[in-house]
Amino acid sequence: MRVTERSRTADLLRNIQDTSERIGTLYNKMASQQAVSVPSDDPSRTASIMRISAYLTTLEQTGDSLKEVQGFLGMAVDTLEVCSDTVMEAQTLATHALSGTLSPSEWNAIGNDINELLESIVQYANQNYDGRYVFAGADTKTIPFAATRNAEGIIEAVSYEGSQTEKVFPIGRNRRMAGSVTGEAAFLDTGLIASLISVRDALTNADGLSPEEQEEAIRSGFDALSTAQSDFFALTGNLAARCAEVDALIDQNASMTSRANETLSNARDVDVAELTVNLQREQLVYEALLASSAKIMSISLLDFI
Amino acid sequence: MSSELNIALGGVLAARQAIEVVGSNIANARTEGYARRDIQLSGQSWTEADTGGSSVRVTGVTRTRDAFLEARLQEYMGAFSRNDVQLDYFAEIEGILQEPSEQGIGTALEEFFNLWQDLAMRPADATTRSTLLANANQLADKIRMLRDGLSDIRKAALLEVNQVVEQVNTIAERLADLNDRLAIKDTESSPASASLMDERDRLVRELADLVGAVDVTPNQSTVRLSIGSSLLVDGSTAIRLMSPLDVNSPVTMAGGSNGVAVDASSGKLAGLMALMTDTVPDYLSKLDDLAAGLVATVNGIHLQGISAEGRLADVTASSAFLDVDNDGNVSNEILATAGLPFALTAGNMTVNIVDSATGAVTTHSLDVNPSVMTVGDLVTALNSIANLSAGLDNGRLRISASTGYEFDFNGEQTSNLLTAAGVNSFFDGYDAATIRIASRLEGHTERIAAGLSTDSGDGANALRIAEARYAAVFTEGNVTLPDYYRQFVTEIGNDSAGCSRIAETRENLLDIVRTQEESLSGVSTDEEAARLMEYQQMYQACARYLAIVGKLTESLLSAI
Repeated sequence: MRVTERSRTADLLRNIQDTSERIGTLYNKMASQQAVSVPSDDPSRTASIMRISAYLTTLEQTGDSLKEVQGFLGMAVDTLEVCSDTVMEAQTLATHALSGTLSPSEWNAIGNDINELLESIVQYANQNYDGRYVFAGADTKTIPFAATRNAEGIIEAVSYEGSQTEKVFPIGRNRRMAGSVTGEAAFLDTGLIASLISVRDALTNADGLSPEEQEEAIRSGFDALSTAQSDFFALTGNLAARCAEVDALIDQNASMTSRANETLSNARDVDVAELTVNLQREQLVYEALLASSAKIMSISLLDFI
Repeated sequence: MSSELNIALGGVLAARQAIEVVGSNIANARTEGYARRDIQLSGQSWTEADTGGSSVRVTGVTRTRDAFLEARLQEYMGAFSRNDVQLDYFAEIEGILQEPSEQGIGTALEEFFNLWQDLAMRPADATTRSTLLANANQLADKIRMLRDGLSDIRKAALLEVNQVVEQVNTIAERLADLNDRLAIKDTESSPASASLMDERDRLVRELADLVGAVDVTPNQSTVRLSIGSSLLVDGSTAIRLMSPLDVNSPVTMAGGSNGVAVDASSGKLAGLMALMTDTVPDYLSKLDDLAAGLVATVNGIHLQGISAEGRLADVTASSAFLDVDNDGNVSNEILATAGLPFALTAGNMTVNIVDSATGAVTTHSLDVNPSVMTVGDLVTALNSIANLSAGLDNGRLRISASTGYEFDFNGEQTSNLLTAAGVNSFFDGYDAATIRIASRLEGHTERIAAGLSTDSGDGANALRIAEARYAAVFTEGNVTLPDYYRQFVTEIGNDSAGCSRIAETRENLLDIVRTQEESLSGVSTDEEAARLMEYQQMYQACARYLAIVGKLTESLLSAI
């Protein structure tokens, strides 16, 4: 094989170009810290990176949803628990009223205390979280409970203005969870507000009953309150269990997010140590190429004639 | 004595000519297209009587060329150029694709569905609605920008095709002229002819590179070049190529083959034409499919939803029925062929009429047979529903409720009619070039139909759209929208990587043949230096011989 000047120059240029290109590629990877800059670097890996990234954003979105549910549901449970305490307080007062030693005026005073507790519960029933009413069902912008008051401003009845449909949150792919219960189910269907009104009215003798009838009415209201309290506790427990489920889902989602992040990092990020070694090797090759080429290219028979 | 003098003179002259050839080789050692010259010497008798004395003469100066190698070189040059020219375009395509990164359509698409999920949680939140609309706008922008970018690449390829055509025409004319001049000389022994042949070979290579032209009559003094089955240069005639009229047209032959499309399978022209008329249009078509799938899917669900404003009292479709038969009447057009951008199927459409005062709902289901039913039939059918009226507004379907009533489309919509017409839609448009946020939503985030009821916290419809990311939108292979886009990106990556690999392989093959050709035809200055010394010694020896013969003659004359 004859070696000519042109072929020698072409070989040198090609080798310089190839080595420079490899160094450039390594340098870009080092600068971006990404193994794949464009799809053609590794098409199947590109698809993996995009798939894992999408999965990761879905997990992050689910995480946000779960935290939203956790907040909304947490507010509902906290409110119901406060209401439970209030109901227990009302029950204690009613028990005291039925002890048989109190006068009508003392009953009236207890009735007024229970009325205060009723006002509190109506207020709690209109609790909102981040601008949304927790017990309004799906109609979160509407104040769920409206009280009808008499001339003295005493609550005569409480009506539900919210939605019959529960407010539902997405908690994952095709998975949904109600973020609360409707106020109607919690406060009206359990008979909570009605029994409080009934006990209060009996104690204050709003209907002008005889002492015997009044005592009977107090006892009847007390029984209704006990039943309502039992149903209310069950409902609160149910929501609290849902809260615990959300907590578990958040932990599970965080773990999955962490694993997905690791998988994405493996697919997308460069191995810096490996890259550094490769870069050093290419630099050595480049220097050797330039040095040897400069030596060989400068020698000619013409120099010795 | 004269024979000895002639022998010496012949040697001196031959050595001098050989030194001249060596000088020419050294001078052109780096000249592109120059083929090394070889000098042929042969003995020459100067006496009639066979005394054994003979001089030397130059019988020829030849160009070292191998027609077989030259043909392979042309073939590999064309094959390499076909892929090489595409590499820059693929780099540009991948550049505008911006994948895998957070700036690409893939991330915007995921974010789009995530924001629908956000809206499902907080449907009454104005900020969430605005964010969704802004993101959807960005997504539509990115899709349109990618389409524009791909279209620009087609136009750039067209410009380069035009340049290639110009270059080919210029070179072909010069080759025809060279053919003419070489036909007269018909020998390569003269330096002028050899230079013309160098020039001719260089131009043939350029044509091989540009258009994959091959010499169909190698080893002849004149070349005959063809592209596929069409002759480009025949003797002193060059057939002109005609530039394509637009990005969809081929390059054609002028002259006797007027109008015939050039069937170049290699060279830059083939690579550019493949990109312009095949590869990029395929990408554009897939991007259009993605946009159409997104529009149809989201609009199909959005149609059935109820916005924060409540149910509809009056709505106008975004797409118009067209007067396809140009008779001045849209009403008599058959629905299936009335110019709606999406296909219709035989099925139904559901309308719920709601009494605003009582909330009483009346559901109506209309049968739609798009291959029989006319636009007028549809309007009549809608008008037959109590408390609902319909008409055409510049060809666009307009539906209104009577005072005290409102309506929605929550229910079966198997005919796809309302989606195709763009009623209560989220997106306007039907492909990657036209996709954008529905004009009726611009500045009206409250019109986003997030719920399936009038409850302010109802995000059920938004959740259906969020979960549409998992729906098999493309029935072939049950592919979802994000998966379709990933396949699209992977296809571009594979095409680009494949092109790069083929180009590399072909470049290696080309390098091998180039090295072989260079080894045969190229100039080695070391070799020429060795020859120079050889001919220098020859010259010196002949000159010395001449001097001795001169002295002998002188001695002879002095004896007289």
